[in-house]
Amino acid sequence: MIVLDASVALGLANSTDVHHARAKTLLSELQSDGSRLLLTDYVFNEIIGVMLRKVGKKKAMAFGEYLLQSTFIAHTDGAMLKDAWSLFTKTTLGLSLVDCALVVTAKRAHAKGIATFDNEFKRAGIAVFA
Amino acid sequence: MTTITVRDVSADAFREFKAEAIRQKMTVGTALTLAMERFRADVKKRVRLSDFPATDWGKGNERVSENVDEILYGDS
Repeated sequence: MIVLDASVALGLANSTDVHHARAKTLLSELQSDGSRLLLTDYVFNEIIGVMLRKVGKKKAMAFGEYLLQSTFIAHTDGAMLKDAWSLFTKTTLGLSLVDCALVVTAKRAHAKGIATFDNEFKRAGIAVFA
Repeated sequence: MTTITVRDVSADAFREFKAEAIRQKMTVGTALTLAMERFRADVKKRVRLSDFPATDWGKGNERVSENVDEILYGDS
């Protein structure tokens, strides 16, 4: 199980993104290894929010549908939010609350790591695939 | 947990499914839940995220993947 960050998903969806080629190769490699891809509901919301602003609802919906078909969605419950909030308030790293929820989800799911282009996750003690 | 009614199920397939559930010491509900989860996993395995047909988001959007927080929440 690998948890996806918005950076990798957005890099994949945009053919001219600086990380596009790497995102495509990385995801292909992870899937070939048989890894399940997990997306938190918060990150899904971020991806759709960014795409709405940048390329409009039609493209956001198309990618959203594809994500729902190809990944597993982890729903953040009250206990996870509490843990994410605790991490967010204590960390000195540049992690958003969404990032903290992603770290909590990865740990709870015993994920192999997080697929991300954000180096801050490495400092959070999580294995990073980039 | 929920209670459901399902129409148009093959009688033979259900009979065999129920018998197998009993052999495995499971309730039909538990076996059906497992079967549904396996079905979802199989479908997701067939749809590879890396095969998504990417599109060109145009000039100025080359670093969107690095600037999610700024785009959504502004500079902090």
